[in-house]
Amino acid sequence: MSNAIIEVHDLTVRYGNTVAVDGTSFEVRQGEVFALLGTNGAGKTTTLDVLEGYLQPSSGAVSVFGLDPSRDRDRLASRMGIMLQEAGFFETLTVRQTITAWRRFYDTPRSLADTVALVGIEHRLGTRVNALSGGERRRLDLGLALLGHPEILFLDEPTTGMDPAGRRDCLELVAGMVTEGLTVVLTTHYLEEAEQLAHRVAIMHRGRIRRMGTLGEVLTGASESTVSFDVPVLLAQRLPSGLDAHTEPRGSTTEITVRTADPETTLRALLGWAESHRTSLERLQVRRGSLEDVFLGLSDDDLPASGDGPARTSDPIPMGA
Amino acid sequence: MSAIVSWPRYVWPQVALSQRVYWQDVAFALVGAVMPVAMGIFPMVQVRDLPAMASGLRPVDLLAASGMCVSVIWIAYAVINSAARRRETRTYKRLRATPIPASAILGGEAVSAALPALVQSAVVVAVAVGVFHVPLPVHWGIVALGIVAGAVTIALLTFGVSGLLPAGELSTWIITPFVIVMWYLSGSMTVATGSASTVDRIADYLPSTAVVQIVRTGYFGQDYVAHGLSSHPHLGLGEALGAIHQPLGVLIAWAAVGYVLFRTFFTWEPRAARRRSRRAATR
Repeated sequence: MSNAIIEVHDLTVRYGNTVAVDGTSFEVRQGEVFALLGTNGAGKTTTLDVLEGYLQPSSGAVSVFGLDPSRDRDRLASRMGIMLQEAGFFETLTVRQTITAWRRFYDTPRSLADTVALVGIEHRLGTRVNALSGGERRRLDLGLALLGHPEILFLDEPTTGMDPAGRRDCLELVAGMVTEGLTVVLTTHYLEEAEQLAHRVAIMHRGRIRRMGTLGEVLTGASESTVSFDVPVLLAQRLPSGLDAHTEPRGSTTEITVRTADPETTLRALLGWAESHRTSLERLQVRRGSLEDVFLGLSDDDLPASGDGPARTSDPIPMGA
Repeated sequence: MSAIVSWPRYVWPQVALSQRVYWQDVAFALVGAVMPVAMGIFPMVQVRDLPAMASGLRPVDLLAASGMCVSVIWIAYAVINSAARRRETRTYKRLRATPIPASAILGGEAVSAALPALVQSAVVVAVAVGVFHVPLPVHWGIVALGIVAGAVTIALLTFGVSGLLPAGELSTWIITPFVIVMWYLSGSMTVATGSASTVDRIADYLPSTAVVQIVRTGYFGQDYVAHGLSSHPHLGLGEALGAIHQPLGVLIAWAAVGYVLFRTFFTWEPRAARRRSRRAATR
């Protein structure tokens, strides 16, 4: 691929006898957002650590802008922006002092005013870092990552700890920069973030990429939509045949959930059925297949037994580091 | 820009950052600023009226020179505090997310730890000369060489050892007894050195003792390596340089040990995080 600026081939990282990343290969193209998803211990942050030059691979080949990120780190550093999942600040410094100190590390840094305005913390310039909220710290984090006008931005769980407005601002900011040519490698446990931002996603589990492609490719054929509604108990026995329907009694009504690959046709059939039976589909909902469904489907068979696997809720799936 | 040319360009921003953070931690900064000066001057106060020794120097003269070394040995305390604390809080990892080379981060930290030591050494000499009428150094260059070589060696050793020690505050408690023992055995706080006791023979091979021997030899232009406290002939610059080859060799050897320790044990990230990564990978 001619415009790939990150190339990872058969990357393996071992810690002693344990394998954190197991033969992973992928490419990231100029100007795209590539999202790595996975459960705790899936190998996402380890993969990022290798791409960022913090960690040497046990085997395999990795290049960023054609350079070895570990060996050529000093040459690459000014072209990369890194927002770490977990990294400390000098807690006694103010926001102004922190950014001013960090600006000295770059040859042509963004101005202090531009940086704080970009991430929306201009009102906190005189505040010590240890007095910032979790979301404000993440904003400062992002501001520092963008200080050197990076060509590629690594975001490791960028919006963790941010309030909804902060998350929206952060995503809009990154999306805007992507339209100007910025390349982004993202890990997140908010699947809707990946859906909103990523051009391509890779789902990692136990060190391996289980599925990768554009959102459309990953969603197509690997997920089903659901149509759910309530009908009177007696009518629940007379649903059209051939539906993959699950019924759940709810007092005088029954909740029906139909899984379908073709929600439009299914919905038309159900509406026709309801009209012919002179009833209505109460609490009707159609939900398209999501990345969350894909992920759950892929890892359902071999999820860790402990509590750190994906939860089956509509809330963000806890898939941290 | 080549790496060698650009290195200082990155070191000085790190020095400025480290210094700012250092002086914002008021309690730590006060201890770091006052303690070495006090420990350098207090022994001189105690011996100020004692008569001259065989070398013709008074004990207060000798302690003025060695008092300069107290702050050099104290560099271990400042370095361990920043190295262990910033590793555990992942501040080093954040710094490494910028274009500053890893060596410039540690170089800046070491220079930042050494700067107060240089000022403290100057204060000790100023008090010695002004209050106790101690003569000025004979060979300034050798004094400077001893202080710089000692600072580099002790900083390198401390960065190396930091990989074996836990979080910041605990590390300073662990390293402090070693600093005190080095102060005492090196002769930086006492006139006793060069005796034939087993402890003194061992002490001759400590980096702290080597620093004191070099600085004393340079300060007075007398051989404080081979002659101890006995009668001393005056040495020219060349002879003085020749006289310090052994302690200089000791410093180089310790610097090499520090480098090996650094390469083997130093980590940029918390020790616990590395264990967690291994555990997560086994799930």
